[in-house]
Amino acid sequence: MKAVIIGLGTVGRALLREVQERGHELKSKYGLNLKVVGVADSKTAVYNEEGLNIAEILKMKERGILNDHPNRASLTELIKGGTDVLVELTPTNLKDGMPAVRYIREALSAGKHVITANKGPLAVEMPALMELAEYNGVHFLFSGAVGGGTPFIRFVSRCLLGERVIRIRGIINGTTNYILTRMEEGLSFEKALKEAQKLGYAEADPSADVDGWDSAAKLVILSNVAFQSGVTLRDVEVEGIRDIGLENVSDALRNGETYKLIAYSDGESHLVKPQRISLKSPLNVKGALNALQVEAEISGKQTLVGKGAGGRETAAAVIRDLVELKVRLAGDGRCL
Amino acid sequence: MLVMKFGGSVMRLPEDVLKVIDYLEGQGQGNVAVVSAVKGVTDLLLDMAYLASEGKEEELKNKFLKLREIHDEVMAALDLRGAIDEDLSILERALTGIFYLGELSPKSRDFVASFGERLVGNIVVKELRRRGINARFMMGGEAGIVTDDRFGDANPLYRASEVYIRNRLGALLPDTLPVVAGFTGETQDGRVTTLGRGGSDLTATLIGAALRADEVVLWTDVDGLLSVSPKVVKNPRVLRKVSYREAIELSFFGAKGMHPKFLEPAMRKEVPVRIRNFWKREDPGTLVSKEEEVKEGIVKAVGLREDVSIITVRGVGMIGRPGTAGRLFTVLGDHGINVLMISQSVSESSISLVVDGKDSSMTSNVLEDLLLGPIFSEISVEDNLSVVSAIGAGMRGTPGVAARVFKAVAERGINVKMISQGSSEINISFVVDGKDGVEAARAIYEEFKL
Repeated sequence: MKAVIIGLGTVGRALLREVQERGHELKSKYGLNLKVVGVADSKTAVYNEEGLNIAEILKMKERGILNDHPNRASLTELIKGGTDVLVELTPTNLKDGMPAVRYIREALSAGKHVITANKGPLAVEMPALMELAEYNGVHFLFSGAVGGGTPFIRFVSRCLLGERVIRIRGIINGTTNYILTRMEEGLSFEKALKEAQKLGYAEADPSADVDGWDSAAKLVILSNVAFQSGVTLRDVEVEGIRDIGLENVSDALRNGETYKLIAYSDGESHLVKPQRISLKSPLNVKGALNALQVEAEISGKQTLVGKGAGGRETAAAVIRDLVELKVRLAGDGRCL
Repeated sequence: MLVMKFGGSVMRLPEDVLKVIDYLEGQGQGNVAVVSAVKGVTDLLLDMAYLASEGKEEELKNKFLKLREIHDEVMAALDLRGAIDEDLSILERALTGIFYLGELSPKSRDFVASFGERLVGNIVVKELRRRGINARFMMGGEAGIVTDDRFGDANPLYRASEVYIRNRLGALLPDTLPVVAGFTGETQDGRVTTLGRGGSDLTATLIGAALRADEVVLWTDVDGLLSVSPKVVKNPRVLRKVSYREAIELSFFGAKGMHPKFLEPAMRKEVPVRIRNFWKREDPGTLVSKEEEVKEGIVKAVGLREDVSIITVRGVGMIGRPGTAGRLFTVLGDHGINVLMISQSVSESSISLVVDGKDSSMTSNVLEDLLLGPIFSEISVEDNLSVVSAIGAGMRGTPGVAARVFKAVAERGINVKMISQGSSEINISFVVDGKDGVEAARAIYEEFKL
């Protein structure tokens, strides 16, 4: 299978390393013979129909640029040329999803399968992209877009096949959970945020995390998968964690409760909001962990806890999608 | 928030366009207008595209002048000369391309056809802006309507269109009055498409549904949906409230060329649609909504469609043989033949179909060529017939309606040739001889005091 990877940040490079190391295993175990024919970073695109030398690409990226590569090409060649699947891993933009949205639409209309770990395009127009994929008869997979390597999306979409999901509720942003955990331990919001930034959990501009938009984007994806709700980011009511304050946190603790930034959806209403939950709740996870509770009609409440982020972890989710794609194309009905 | 659609039937003359502009000025920003081409302009454009491809320069020039004249008259009244020069020059270039290549692809035809809405839309917007309204013209595609690649009769991709309409058009409200070119959309790679017959109604309901409008108003030159065609009774009653499903049945018989397809988006999001007469603005028109108002009567309306044919296929070999109906309908589907009614005897020895009269001879030819043989041993055709339909949600679960319908028809000595009732029970349809159609419809009209 020929693949093109756009975006060579942490996830993109981790993916290349995994492909390099585990390529043989993927082939023997799943029949997935992956050939990376194109890669692009924010400045340069490189294409070789016969497959690129991954080690060489990684080495060049270590030095910073792909500029010296002999096989330079245009992005359009990469997307519309001889690839089977586009792996889209560019930085997240929650405002209009660009440029990822454009790459994905182009690939879908050219009849290419698309895998992304980018929540931006999904938050902005997931129902549209799903329909375009259907219309063009291609697969569109995105398990890395929520929860890094933790399979929250499959948890909602596949593990409960045959029964109805009633509601989903969870903590789907590690940065805010880290900050709230540290506030439980007595740190002020500002200090906890600085610490999160120092540890690399939070960005220099932390607003997407702290104001709830990152959670909201992931909630959009989960809600569309769980309920086919057709929502986008503008349908979510969002409130961040800036205004909680230490005194409220300690008051909650005295009452056996704690503050969490909870994302909630029942398919009708969509909410991201700090809420007090019992210290005994399975959702009371600490540090940068994520947790998602799914309430199914028959089998009841179940919670999945996982790391929720990380380059290598997210690359694992992309690989999971690549294997899934291979299985679907081969018409093999195995449930993975 | 209202979505207001102004059909070609409203904009027959240049001065009608002025009335529409005055009306929109009063409605103001925060609403959406959908405009159709001025009456006759779409046909004119299609003629021009054809003439260009045939290399008929003189005739093409005359038509182009006529197109210019129609719009010039509007612009002269508004002192807006030159407002559409740019659009006209693009159109001219497109026609020149078709002329030199001598080739008219469905893609180019749609591009040319879309200018009817584009020209009038741009005039409307320029005048509204001059009057201080923040109006903005948008082609269907720009407004977010994405379609499949069936040029000439494109179908919207509903979920995608909903998202794009909200992101593009919705983002402009409430401080804009978008004026959208009805009937137009675009493919996923940005080619202009047209939505086929009744397309502007669909444009309006797509937008209304995506933006959850308070109401979609379809301004026309009729008072609303009628309980019966004026052909059957003089001055029939206007229905005040009907459900989506009743409206779908009714629009099939409607004289106004409404395509039931337009109701689908409104029905999905439960957005009310109102059909009103632009020249009788005090009149509330017909409201189409979710509620099935049963109290207005058991049978609410009667439909009449003339010039249909019954095609009957018979064969002892059809009995007990699975897949025979499948074969029959596959053949019809492959040839694009639309079937209006279907009926099969329990013995399975015959299947009767009702098709439009104009499809009759093609249908019998196709069936004879492809099916006549040991299984389908006989094919017969009966032309010049009429379909009559009693329509109303109140019929469901009310015993004796069919008895009343057929008694009323029988009392006038009319023979019923074929009957069909969907299991939803909101429609009983039957076929009679063409000369009896009006009388049969009148019988039902009188029996149920419509």
